[in-house]
Amino acid sequence: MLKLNITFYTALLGVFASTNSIAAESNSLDLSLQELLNVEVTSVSKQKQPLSNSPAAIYVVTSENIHNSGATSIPQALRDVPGLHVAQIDSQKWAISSRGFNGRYNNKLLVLMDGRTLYSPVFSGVYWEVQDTLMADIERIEVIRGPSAAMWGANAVNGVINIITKHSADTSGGYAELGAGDYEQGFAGFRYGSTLSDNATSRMYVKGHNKDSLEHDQQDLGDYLVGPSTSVDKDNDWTHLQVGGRVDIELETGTSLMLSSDWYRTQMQQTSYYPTLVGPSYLEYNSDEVNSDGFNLLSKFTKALSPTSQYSLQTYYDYAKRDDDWYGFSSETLDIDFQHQLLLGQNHNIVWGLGYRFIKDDFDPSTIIVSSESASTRTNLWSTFVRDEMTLIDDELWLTLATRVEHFDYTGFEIQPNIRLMWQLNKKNNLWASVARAIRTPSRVENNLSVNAQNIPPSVESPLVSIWVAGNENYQSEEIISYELGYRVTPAKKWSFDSTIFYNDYDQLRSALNSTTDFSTFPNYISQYLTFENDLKGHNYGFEFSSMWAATDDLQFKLNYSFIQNEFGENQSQNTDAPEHMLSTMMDWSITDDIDLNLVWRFMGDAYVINTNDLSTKTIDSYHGLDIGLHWAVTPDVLLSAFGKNLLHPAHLEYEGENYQFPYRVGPSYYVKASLTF
Amino acid sequence: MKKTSFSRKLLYSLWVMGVILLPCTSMAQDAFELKAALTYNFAKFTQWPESRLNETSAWEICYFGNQYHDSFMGLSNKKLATQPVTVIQLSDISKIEQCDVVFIDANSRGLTHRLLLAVENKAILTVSDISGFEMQGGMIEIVEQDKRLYFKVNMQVLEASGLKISSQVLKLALEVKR
Repeated sequence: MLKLNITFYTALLGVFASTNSIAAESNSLDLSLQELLNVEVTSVSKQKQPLSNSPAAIYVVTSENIHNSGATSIPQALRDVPGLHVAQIDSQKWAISSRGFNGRYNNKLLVLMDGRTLYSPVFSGVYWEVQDTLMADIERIEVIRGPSAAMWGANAVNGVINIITKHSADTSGGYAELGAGDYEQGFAGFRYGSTLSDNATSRMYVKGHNKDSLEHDQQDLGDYLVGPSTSVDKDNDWTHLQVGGRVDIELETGTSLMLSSDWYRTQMQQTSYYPTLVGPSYLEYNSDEVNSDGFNLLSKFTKALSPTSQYSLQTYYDYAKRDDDWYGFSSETLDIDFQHQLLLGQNHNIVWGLGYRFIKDDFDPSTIIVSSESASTRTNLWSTFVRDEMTLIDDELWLTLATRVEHFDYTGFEIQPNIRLMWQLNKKNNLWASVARAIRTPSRVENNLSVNAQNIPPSVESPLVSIWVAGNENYQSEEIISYELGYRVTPAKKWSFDSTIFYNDYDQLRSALNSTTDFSTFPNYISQYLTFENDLKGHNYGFEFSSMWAATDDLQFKLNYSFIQNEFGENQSQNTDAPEHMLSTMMDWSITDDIDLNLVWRFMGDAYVINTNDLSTKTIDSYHGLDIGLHWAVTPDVLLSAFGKNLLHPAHLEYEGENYQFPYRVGPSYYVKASLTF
Repeated sequence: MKKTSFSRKLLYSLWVMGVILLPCTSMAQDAFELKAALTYNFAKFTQWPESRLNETSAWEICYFGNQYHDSFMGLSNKKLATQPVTVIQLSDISKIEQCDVVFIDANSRGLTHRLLLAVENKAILTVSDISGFEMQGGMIEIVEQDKRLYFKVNMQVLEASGLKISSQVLKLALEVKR
């Protein structure tokens, strides 16, 4: 019976394979121009995904992947990327990291949208809930694991996520989408793209959504929190509205200008608990509405000077404001970036650049977060970089040397060099290796803010102890030296494998081991200050693998797996161990011309989060889940889709947010969507 | 044993049927093949300068985009006028001047600035499926609409480079910029 099965599948494969070869042989070259224009195209939107040819661990989420998965937000589109740990905290909040160190305030991942940094300079990390655009306008999301600070700048320590939106010429005409479900209570998007003149195209979009709360389960709380927390509202629903647009202008041959702008407003319910000086629990529970809004304006001028030389000048302004229960914050960023690409002779592809970033922030303190600086601070970041990609042997061996020098107000000069080597053994096999140093610059919270982490209730021996984690103006950058080795192979046209092994050596990691005690408020209470220092070090290593098999033009399978092992000793006080094992398998099947089915099954191993109240380690149990997407093209312009997410597994924790945040469970959800192009 | 051989026969017949039947179910074609074929046809219906026609060297059709490799290789046993066609895959602009025809795919948009500057006023036919290519200063832009391919022609650029394209072709164009 087993044998029969094997033969059957082999035969089935034969059928699939033969369809391809026949299609390839039937020669469209013999058709006349008129005939060619009458042939129906099978793979209009399909882009074959050739393996990347660069010496780095790159994975690309294409617009087709986003469409298939029905992702309604950027974090959802990043699930299942090998090496990325994507975990939902509550309805709005996400923790996303590459190669460990996850957290709501993960500070080792650089995220950019069309060249604009989304990394917050204040608390570090990315507020994913306000990073949005019309999902249908995203051309691709490039995820580079490992440090690439030499090219992209500080904080590209464990990875870079580069969100690239479509050129406005690619989004002409109208597009509208409307959807609803249980967690996705309602979402709508509208875009219109038009040709402005002989040399300019544009688009405008508006989108909005309403997402329901995730459920809270008391079992996920520590015993001391359960009792007093029962009376507080656990709502965490989320409403977001955003409008934006883009214009692309061709000024003359080889010269173009791109302008883009977005505005958003978001409202989120949030429940938190934080320390107070009032007994009996010395904790206060609060449910409040968080408001956040933002605006950005970006321009990019690109000019080719000759066939071998081109420069671009990018300028942007970004405003972001957030009113949280425990702090208020706004920041204004002005960034100017110049890049020049130059091909020297046959063997040197050089890019160099200069950058300047000015950030003015305004901090609104509370009883639990205070600032030792004035409410408003200004920081300057200067940077310059050069990269030379050298061809050592034509079509066979390349060497890339790159380095970046930065000057940041808090830490002074930093150097981030990188050396990469790529060896193309033959058309099918490709090896690369990289050694890089990158740094993570301190954020404002580490430099001059103090956070009340916990209050220890008074006892017979001691008065009430208020524990604060305090910023330190001598706090230095964290450092990583990373060693990577990659191997890509395409054994047959329809198969591809991409694998990477890495070893990361971290130094000067954040610690808060030394304390000073302030007795001035004795006997009411005493305050203990744990100061941020750079006393921790450690290393991790791991393996990442992704493979694709295009069984036919209509049926594709993917398998992504990653493994990581962390060695940070016992004193790890800042971050989360990513799951040791993460696995996802995907199937994209065009059942007929009009019906597509997309399946994803994923497994996430146990993850460990630091409980900020007592610094103990808490295990987030492993889970698995199935996502289903079904698409029916009713007419070429009308598409109906139905999605099921996180099926086959009961509601579970994916992550627990650090500092003051309640844990919430992610469970199965469903939604339907209609989209229309006109 | 017997059972296996029967099932093998059955499966073999299935396989044969599959080979025969499946390709017949649709007249549809891969867009990559079609774009390569269109590019060749545009070259065929172009009136090249006398100086080029007097040369005896092969026609060089260049393309960008690894995923077009197989489709363009199919052109290598073709001829234009009396000379054979040579197909070259390019990854950068530096070798562009040797080409008679250049196809640049939608994934290589970042290269168009330097490409269009490099071929400006030269008798090199540029074809692309990048939206807005014709607006940028490219000669022929292939457009996908409703599962069919169409094309736009920029006559200003063609004329400036000394190329002419047959009126037969212009008649079929979706749009001609004069």
